[in-house]
Amino acid sequence: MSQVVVLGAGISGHTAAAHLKRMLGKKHNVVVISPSEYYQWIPSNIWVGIGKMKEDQVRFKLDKVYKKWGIEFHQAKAVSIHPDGSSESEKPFIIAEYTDPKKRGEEISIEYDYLVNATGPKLNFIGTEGLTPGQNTQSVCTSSHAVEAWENLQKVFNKAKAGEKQKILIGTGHPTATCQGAAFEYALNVAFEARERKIEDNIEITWITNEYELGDFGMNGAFVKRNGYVIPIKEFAESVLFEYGIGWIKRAGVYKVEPGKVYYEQLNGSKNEKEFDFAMLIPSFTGAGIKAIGKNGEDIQDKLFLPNGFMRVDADYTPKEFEEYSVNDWPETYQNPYYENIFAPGIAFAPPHSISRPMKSINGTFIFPTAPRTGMPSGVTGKVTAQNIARIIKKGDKTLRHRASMGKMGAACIVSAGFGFFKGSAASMTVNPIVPDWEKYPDYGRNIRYTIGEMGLAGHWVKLTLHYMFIHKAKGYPLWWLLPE
Amino acid sequence: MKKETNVKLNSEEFYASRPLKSVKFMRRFIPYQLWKFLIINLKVIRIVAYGHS
Ligand SMILES: Cc1cc2nc3c(=O)[nH]c(=O)nc-3n(C[C@H](O)[C@H](O)[C@H](O)COP(=O)(O)OP(=O)(O)OC[C@H]3O[C@@H](n4cnc5c(N)ncnc54)[C@H](O)[C@@H]3O)c2cc1C
Repeated sequence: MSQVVVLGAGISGHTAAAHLKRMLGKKHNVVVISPSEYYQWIPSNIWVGIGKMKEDQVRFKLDKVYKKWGIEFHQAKAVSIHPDGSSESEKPFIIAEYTDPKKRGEEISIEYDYLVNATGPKLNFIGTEGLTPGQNTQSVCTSSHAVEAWENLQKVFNKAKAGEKQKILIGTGHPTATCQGAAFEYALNVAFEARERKIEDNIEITWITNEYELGDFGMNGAFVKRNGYVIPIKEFAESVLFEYGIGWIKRAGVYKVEPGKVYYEQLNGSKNEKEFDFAMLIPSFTGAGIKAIGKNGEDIQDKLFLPNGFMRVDADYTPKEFEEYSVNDWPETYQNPYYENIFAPGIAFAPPHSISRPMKSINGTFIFPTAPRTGMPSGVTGKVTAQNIARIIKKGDKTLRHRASMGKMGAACIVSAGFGFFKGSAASMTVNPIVPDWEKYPDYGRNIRYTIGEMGLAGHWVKLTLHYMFIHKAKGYPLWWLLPE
Repeated sequence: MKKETNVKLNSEEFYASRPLKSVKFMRRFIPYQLWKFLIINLKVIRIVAYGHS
């Protein structure tokens, strides 16, 4: 009997665990370790943050689902990985600390034959001075943050209703933050809500971003076919913001936040301030901060992780100039090069470099988006990891047949721009592949044949369908495994 | 939505492309949006299906 331990029950880890159990059956053990008792469908947090969904509509308790599937679940947070075992035992293991209120603080050691590190990003609020969610600024990165954001946004809406001018700032809260898409969605939804409440005249919304051009979204922008032209998404993004009455500040690295005031540096070296009554700013991301420890207690962090805390996988980490970036630098199997039984799908893997061009201000500050890893690649990489591990366990063949590179896979970005079955809207965009392949597609870096760049009600229906479909899938309802990642 | 509130003449925002009334109408026109719903889904499925091996 083999034991597969999955760290993290987010999009990637939950997908991996579900497929592993389905493929391995009762003969083998699948163990999931995650600090929260809930699974949450993070993309719908945007709607929690504007009061259109309740927190419980975007999350559910994991233990019931795992009991049904026969997966062992520990509500705990992994603190260290011991891939060579210890002086007492050869068998690799991890140490986790319970967050489950009944055993809070207790440590548990769990042995593994295969380890899936799907711990996603650590929201590095401390990376920016004063960027404290719920105090100076808000966040929608977790459902509880989104609940708090909505409580605070309502206060601003109420003041605007009473005739007070209110300033809202939404965007990136660190010079190298990523996940612009989520913040962009939130800005559009807030603007939409202000219009619905007829208070838009008293609300000034500003989009602040570290992107060189709008629509970069950490993927160096993209091109879409639209009205007989191939246009850059920049044009699409600017047009949408204009239409929603949102102004913008680009090429901006936020380095400090005080109550009601943000400080930022721009690529041209200028240092500026912007006042706000409500701000939702995305922090920088780091890895989960798990320690890697050798057989005799020595530090082997370098073998498992990069300095940013993300896990080392089958990527090419050789430092390169932007012009030398290649799709082949991107990983395909998410296997650690030193330990063939350790994998890191989803956001937990260390990307080889950014996708957007790294930019430095004249003061030497890097201001550009680091590489995003959205829900679809996180789910897909979780699934291929499960397929590869299941195949090794069942067939004994260590060749990794299943591969999914961000340089080959496409992604659909459905950017919500207002909620309501007949009133809602979303911008639907597709890119293929996510990482531009300039050799294969010399004109645009991507295949523009199947791209879309559409704004409208249909996009909202797609986004809503995805919400219900992915919750159905994650809950393991009938035929869940037929639904794509 | 009132764009003028936040968009000053000759600011960067001023140069953004703007949709015509007909485009705005089509974005809400249910039969057209049903058709678009189908198209978007098909394109997304295609992209997902070819994404991994
Ligand atoms: C507001 C918002 C909106 C978004 N919208 C979209 C969208 O519309 N479309 C899209 O494609 N993507 C979207 N994304 C991105 C998407 O949510 C992520 O790509 C996806 O969640 C990444 O999956 P993951 O499993 O790698 O990480 P996560 O989903 O973050 O999961 C990580 C898991 O690991 C757990 N964990 C952390 N530390 C430890 C530890 N030490 N031990 C054990 N477990 C640990 C966490 O609790 C969590 O359960 C959005 C993101 C945000 C923040």
